[in-house]
Amino acid sequence: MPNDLTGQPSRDEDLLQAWRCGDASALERLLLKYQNRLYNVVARICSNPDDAAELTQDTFVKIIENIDKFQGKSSFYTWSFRIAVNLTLNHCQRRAKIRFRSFDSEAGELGESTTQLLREFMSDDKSPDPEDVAVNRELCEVVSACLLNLDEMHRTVITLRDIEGMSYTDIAQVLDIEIGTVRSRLSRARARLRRLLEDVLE
Amino acid sequence: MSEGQDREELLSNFVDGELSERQAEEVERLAEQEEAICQRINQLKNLKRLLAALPRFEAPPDLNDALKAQLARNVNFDHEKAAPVDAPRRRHAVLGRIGAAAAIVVIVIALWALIHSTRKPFKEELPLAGPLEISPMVPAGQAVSGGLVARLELDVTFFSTVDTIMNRAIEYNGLSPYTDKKVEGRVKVYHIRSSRQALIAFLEDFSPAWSKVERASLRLTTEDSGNPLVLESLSADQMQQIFQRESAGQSVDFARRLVDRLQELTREHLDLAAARVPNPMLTSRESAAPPPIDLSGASGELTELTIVLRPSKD
Repeated sequence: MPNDLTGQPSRDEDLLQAWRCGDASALERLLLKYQNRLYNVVARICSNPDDAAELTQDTFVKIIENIDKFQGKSSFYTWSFRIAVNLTLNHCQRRAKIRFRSFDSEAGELGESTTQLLREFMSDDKSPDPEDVAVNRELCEVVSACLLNLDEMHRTVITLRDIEGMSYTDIAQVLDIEIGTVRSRLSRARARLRRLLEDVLE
Repeated sequence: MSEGQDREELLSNFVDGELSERQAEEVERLAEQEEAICQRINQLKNLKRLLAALPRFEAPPDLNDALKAQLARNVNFDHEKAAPVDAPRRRHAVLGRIGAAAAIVVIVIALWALIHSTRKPFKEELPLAGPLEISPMVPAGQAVSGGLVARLELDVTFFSTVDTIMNRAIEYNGLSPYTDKKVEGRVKVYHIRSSRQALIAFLEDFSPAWSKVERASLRLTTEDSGNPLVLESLSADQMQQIFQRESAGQSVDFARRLVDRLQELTREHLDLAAARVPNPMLTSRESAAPPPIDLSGASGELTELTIVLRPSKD
C-alpha cells in the first residue's frame, strides 16, 4: 500500500478502505487531497470565488452524504469531480451569474508587453515561455475573461482538459457523455476560444 | 460535420495525445507534408500551454472549517416534517393588524376594568386570558409566559446589511411595537416578544442575512425546562424548524434531537468531535443561565426571542 511521507496511505482506494475500516480521518485526508483541484475547476467554471467556495463545500457535503453508496465503479477522482461539475453547472444555470461580455473594447487597453506575449501564444512558430504567463496578471485576466465568454459546456470541457489535465475518458465520465462527444466538444471549444483571443488582439 | 471540422478535431485530439498510434503517425506524416497542418498543431500546443500556465485558484484556508460548519447546519430530520406554519407570511401582516386592533380592545377593556375595579375585585372583571388568546402579540416591556425563551447570538460580517435585513423583517411582520432595541457598543440587541407564528414569519424574512453569519449560537429554554439547551453553528432552516414546532416543549425537544443527530453524524463521518470549529455542539448543562426574564403573567403560546448582533472580529 503506497504511503505518504507520514506513513499514511495516499491512494484514493486505500484511503477509502481505511475509512471503511473505521479511520474517520482517512475521509478528511481524501477530501483535503482534492480540495484545491476541485476548487480550481469550480472557480474557473462559475467565475466567482465566493460561489466557488460554497460549491466546493457543497460538493464535499454531497460526497460525505453519499460515500456509503460509492461502489467504486468509477474512480473516486472522477466521481467527486462529477458531483462538483454538476453542482456548478446547475448553479450557473439557476443563478445565471455568468455574464457575457465583449472584450473588443478592452483590447486597446492591453499593455504592450501583454499584447506581445498573447501574440506569441497565438502564433504557430514560437515557443513562448509559460512562466511569462504566470507573472503577467493582465494576460491571465484576458484569457480568463475569454474563457468566461465560452458557453458553459465548452468552458467546462476546456477547464477539465487543459487546466485540470483530465483524460478524455475521465471527462466523459465526469460529464456523462460519450468520448466522441468529448473529442468534438473540446475541438470546438478550442476553436471558439482561439477566435475570442484573436478578437482581443485585433 | 465538414472536412475542416474533422481535421480540426483530429489535430485537437492529436495534441492531447488521445489518438491511436496509427492515427498519430498519420497526422505526423501529414504535418511533415503540409505546412498549414504543422502550423495549426503548433497553435493548438501554444493555446494549451497558455491555459495550463494560468495560475491555479487555491481554496480558501478556512474551507475545511467551513465544511465542518456546513455539515453541522445540514443536519435535518428529513423524515420528520416540521409542523406547518398555520398561516402564510402574507397573512401575518393582516394578523398583525388584527392583533393590533385586538390589543387596542384589550387596552380599552383593561381601562374599563381599572375604572370599575374600585367597585369589584379586579380578577372577576378583567378577562386576562381571553384577550391574550386573541392577540398574537404582546407589547414590548410586558412579560410573556408559557412559551419559548430563546437567545440567538450572531457574529456577522457586513453588520449594517444584516441589521438592515433585521429591521425590515421586524417592520414587515408588524413586530416593531413588540421589539425592544438596545445598542451596547458595537453590539445590537433585539428583544422580541411575539406569537410563534409571527416569529416564524420574521425568521423567514431574516433568513437571507444568514449568509453573512459567521457564528450562530442559540440558547433555548422554557418556563418548565430549567436547564438551557445550547446549539452552535445552526442554520436558518434549523432555526425556523425549531420554532415551527407546535409547542415550546416540542421546540426544545426538536433542538435536543438535532444536537443528538449531529453528534451521531459526526461520529459516523468526520471526527468532528475532536475538531475545533463546531465544538461544542452539545446540550449544555452548565449553570450559567440566560439573562433573567420575567415569565410571570397569563399563559399562552408566546415566544420571547433575544437576538444579539455582533460584528465578526475581522
